[in-house]
Amino acid sequence: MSELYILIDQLQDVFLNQFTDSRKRIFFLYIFSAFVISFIWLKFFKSYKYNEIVNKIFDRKVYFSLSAFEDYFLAIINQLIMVIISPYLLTQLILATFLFNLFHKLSFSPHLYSGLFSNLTIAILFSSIFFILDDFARFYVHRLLHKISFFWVFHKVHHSARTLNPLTVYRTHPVEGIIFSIRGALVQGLLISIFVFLFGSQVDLITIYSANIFAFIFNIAGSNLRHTNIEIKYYSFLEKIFISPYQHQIHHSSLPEHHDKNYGVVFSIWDNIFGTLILSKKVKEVRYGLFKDSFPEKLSFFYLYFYPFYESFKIMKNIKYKLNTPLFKYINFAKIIRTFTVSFIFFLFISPLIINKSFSNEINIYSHRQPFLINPFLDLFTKETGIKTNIVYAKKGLAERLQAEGRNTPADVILTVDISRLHVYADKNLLASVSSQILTKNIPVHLRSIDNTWFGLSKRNRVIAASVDRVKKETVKTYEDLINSKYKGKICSRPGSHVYNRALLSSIIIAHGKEDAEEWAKQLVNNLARRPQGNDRSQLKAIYQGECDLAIINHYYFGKLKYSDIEQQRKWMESVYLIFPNQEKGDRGVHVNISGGGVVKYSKNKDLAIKLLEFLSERKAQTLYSEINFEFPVNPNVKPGEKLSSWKKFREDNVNISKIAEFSNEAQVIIDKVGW
Amino acid sequence: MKYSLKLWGVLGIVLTLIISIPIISIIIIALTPNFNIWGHLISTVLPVYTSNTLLLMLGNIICVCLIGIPTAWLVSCYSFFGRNFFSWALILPLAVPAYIIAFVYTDILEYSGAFQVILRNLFNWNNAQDYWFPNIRSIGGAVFVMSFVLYPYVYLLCRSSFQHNSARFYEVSRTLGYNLWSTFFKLSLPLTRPALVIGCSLVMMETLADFGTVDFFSINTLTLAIFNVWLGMGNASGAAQISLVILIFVFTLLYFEKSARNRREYHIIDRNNILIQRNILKGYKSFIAFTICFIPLLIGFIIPSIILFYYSLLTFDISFDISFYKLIINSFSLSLIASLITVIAAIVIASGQRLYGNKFIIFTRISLLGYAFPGAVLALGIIIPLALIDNYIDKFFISYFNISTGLILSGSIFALLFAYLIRFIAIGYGAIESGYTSINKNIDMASISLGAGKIFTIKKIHIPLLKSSILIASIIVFVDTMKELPATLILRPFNFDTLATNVYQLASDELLEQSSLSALTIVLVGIVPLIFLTKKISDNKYFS
Repeated sequence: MSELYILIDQLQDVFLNQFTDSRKRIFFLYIFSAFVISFIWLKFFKSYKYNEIVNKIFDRKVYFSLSAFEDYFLAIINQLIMVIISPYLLTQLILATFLFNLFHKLSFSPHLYSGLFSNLTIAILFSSIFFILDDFARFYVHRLLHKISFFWVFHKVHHSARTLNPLTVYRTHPVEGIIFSIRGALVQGLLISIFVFLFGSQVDLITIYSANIFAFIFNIAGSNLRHTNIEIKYYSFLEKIFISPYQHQIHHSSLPEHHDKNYGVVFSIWDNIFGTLILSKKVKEVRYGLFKDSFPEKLSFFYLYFYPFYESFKIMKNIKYKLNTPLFKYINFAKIIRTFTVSFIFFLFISPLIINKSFSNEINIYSHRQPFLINPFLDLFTKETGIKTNIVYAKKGLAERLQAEGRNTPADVILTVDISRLHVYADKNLLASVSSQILTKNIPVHLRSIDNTWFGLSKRNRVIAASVDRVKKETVKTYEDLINSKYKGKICSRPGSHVYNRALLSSIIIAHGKEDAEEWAKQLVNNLARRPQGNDRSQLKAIYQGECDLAIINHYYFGKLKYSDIEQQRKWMESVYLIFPNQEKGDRGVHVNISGGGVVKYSKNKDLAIKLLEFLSERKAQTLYSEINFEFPVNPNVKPGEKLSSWKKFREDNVNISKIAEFSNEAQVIIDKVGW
Repeated sequence: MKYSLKLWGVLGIVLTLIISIPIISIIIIALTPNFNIWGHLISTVLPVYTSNTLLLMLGNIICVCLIGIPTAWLVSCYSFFGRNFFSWALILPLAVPAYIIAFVYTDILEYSGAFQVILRNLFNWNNAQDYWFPNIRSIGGAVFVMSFVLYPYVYLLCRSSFQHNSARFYEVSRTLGYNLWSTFFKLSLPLTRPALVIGCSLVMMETLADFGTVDFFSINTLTLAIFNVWLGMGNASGAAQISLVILIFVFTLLYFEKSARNRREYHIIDRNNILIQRNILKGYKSFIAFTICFIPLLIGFIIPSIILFYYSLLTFDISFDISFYKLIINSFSLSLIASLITVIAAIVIASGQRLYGNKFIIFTRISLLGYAFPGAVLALGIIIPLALIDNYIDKFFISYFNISTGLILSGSIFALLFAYLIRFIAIGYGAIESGYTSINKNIDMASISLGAGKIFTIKKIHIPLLKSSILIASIIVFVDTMKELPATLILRPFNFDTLATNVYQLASDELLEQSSLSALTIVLVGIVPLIFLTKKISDNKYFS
């Protein structure tokens, strides 16, 4: 399964690349610009109505015709063939190196003009010469394809199209594809070697790539329109310089008097010189395709690919006999082409959806934490161990999914951002008990479960944020201070039922008992400045904005904003300072929550899963936690990153973290009661 | 009647049974609680939560009707500046997910948002105490954002109904001396009732199922209560219980409505394709009509799109790479398949119902409930039976062939598609059934008495007549699948992201800017089929 999936993925990339690479003809912007141009043309030059425009541009007869399906079919097959043979084709670099060496041998003096012109001049010179030379080469090779009967039988495939659409450009015989790729290599190789020879190191990759700027302009100016049913004509004087889309459509005409005319790609000057130019105004109507009898009527995969070989063979031998193909008479090739094309597209884009992407030698993770936050860790893990990881992220429902999947679950590891969710998994008996010396050594006893089913991986403190201007230092020292009536209407918080607040309330229940905790929550709600809302980030924002003076937050939100890339957010944090509460001697210390993980009970890769957890508890990953996400490492031997270690030292509430989870239910009851 | 003809009806019933499975499994979950939550809930949060939910629902329905009906009426019966444009453009807000519009308007209208900052600078106010400004994170705010993206349901169905009602009605009414206004109240509105009810019930269920907006606004509705009970108290069955109670409430409401119009049937007597003669509005009247149609479009579509566009320009270089194309492909193909499956299922069920009577109406009703469940709860109802079946198949294969098949259905795209089918069958069925109500039953009888079989009748008569309903159904399902979030998150396979999950991941960490490219793309990709719909509408002589 894994190999198949990777193959499909790569194929998908090959085909997607056609649309996402600006050097390809059907780059999505070029297609888009073709739409825009044809819209403008039809609306303002031809005064079509809107629905007529839509009907014309998205003509069903054009895009769903058999000819079009042949195009799609050939485009697909040719891509696959090119993927296979392209490594063996001559590239411009090999050629350039060869020619460069040749020039040396001929003992011209190299780098003659090095330093004579500025880099910009050379870039412009290179681009324009390249563009003109390239266009001429295209014109000339195209002319040869028509004039030499041996080539023509291959090029005929392209001209057998009865309707034109942008993908018709890929309706070519692979032999033609090879001819054109050699032509490209020749022109580029020649020019690069000459320029390097003359100007030396002034010709760099940027110069060479900048040559594409003209091609980009040509393409964005609607190069795709030449293979469509939109008959755009230019003024005659312009058509003597540039080929208009309609002129190329004339090139595709089936009438003998239009044969072998308008070879040009960009410029029509070459046609003018060689006497093969026809202007648009001279042609009323065009029917595309080949002249009768010059190609079998019934086109098929066989004919399109092999008939040219047969014909060229015939030409070479100069013999005449009829190809007798009784076998193919009874096969409906039209149907095969349609079916193949549709099913290939389906295969390419739908099958990745169907294939289950969980592989045996990889770690599958159910995560409650956003992928972009853990990906740095997983990437590092993959880099160091070579083990790939796959992920499903959701905030809720994963425990139920895991439970339902039972023994057959693909999941190996669970990652969560708080203790109560870890506890849910443990409660449902979904986690395996792990005996790992590394884990027990790295993680303190109070931050992992007694039976070693789950492990804390980073620490997050529930702290109090205060306004620099409006809250004097040392006035608020504990969570209990928050319920002082002088802070009425001054405190902000996210909803009480959020896991972080629930865990905080649990810790207060543990410290003071249920009644006092309820009283505390009640008073706190009384003191709130606004209805609980938003996440911790927006509480900090509210302090900056003056909506409230104090807020209960997780400490790393402050870190994230304070060291943010966005200047505005850094500015918010200038007006806020953090209070780590309950630090007095004998007091319990600041409330700690954990992000953590566990190994799935029915995991098929327990060894790998344990490896991942161990990795996350080791120095590298632990430091990463503090550097990326401003969380404190659980591993007592690892110091937090630079920014965090500059924060004031503080004491933590060392109550066993699983106790917090046990009181979660009662905390929720209180929260509902007081309406936090 | 030949036996084979019954196949169609049987197929419909089997389908409804399959679709009912998750809902039945939710009922089973609800019946097996680990402890009773109701005592605690009733004594604490339930009264507030219920009243909030009712307020939100009522507010949404009123606003949606206030926006949807007048615009539909104007577009159907009057000719004014921009009418042709509005007749299709008014559908566009459908492409904007409620949670995204909530993010966007919060970003503008909250205390630190651009709007209030401008106000403060303009009037030299210093802080919140100096002036009063409505809080966007409130019930009113939720009604505001939700009704401006939900009104197209009512608009679409009402417009189709206004335009399908034979023009003869209007002519008769006008010759009897009624002007267009009284025709509207006395004739059109009552005739629109079935469509209106379907539209409103869709809005109602959408409101009940919405989690993103109420969570973001921290409004304590019953939907939030469901998750507090589930996640906070670890009591999934309590959560299922609450959602069932909500459902029963909606169910009863719809039942009363249905029985109130039980004896009346709304068929069109003749279909002579007479177009309504539109009254031409000029001068200030045209301006007023223009404004009435423009405001919903502006708030529901134009402003959010512009803001998303602006943000996505800012973050384009971060968010745009090849993986982004894959997001689009995933979302697009998923939605396409889902809408195909759903609409076919809806046609089978609705036509079976039409031709074979109401014997299994109860299952049809149950199967339509999926829309009102919060996606996450529905996901629970899906994953449990699917995994059960999977494990059973696995056991079977191990014991007889010694091959482990693993999880075939759950944990693959199948579970997702199944979820979409269940969630959106109500939309598909609603649209097609309302199409059916405007096909006279005499046609069926005529066709059958002329010797055409029932399947032939469906194929050759119903489906062509239902074409516009089918189109509307498939497009709404497509767009809704594109936006669906909670079930997608829970049920998706590994490493599988859609545009919606991408938006959610980023936006849930309040990174609106980074998520805006995906959000904008959801909107844009949603527009494509809507434009297609317009093209069809302009081809169709019943519309335009």
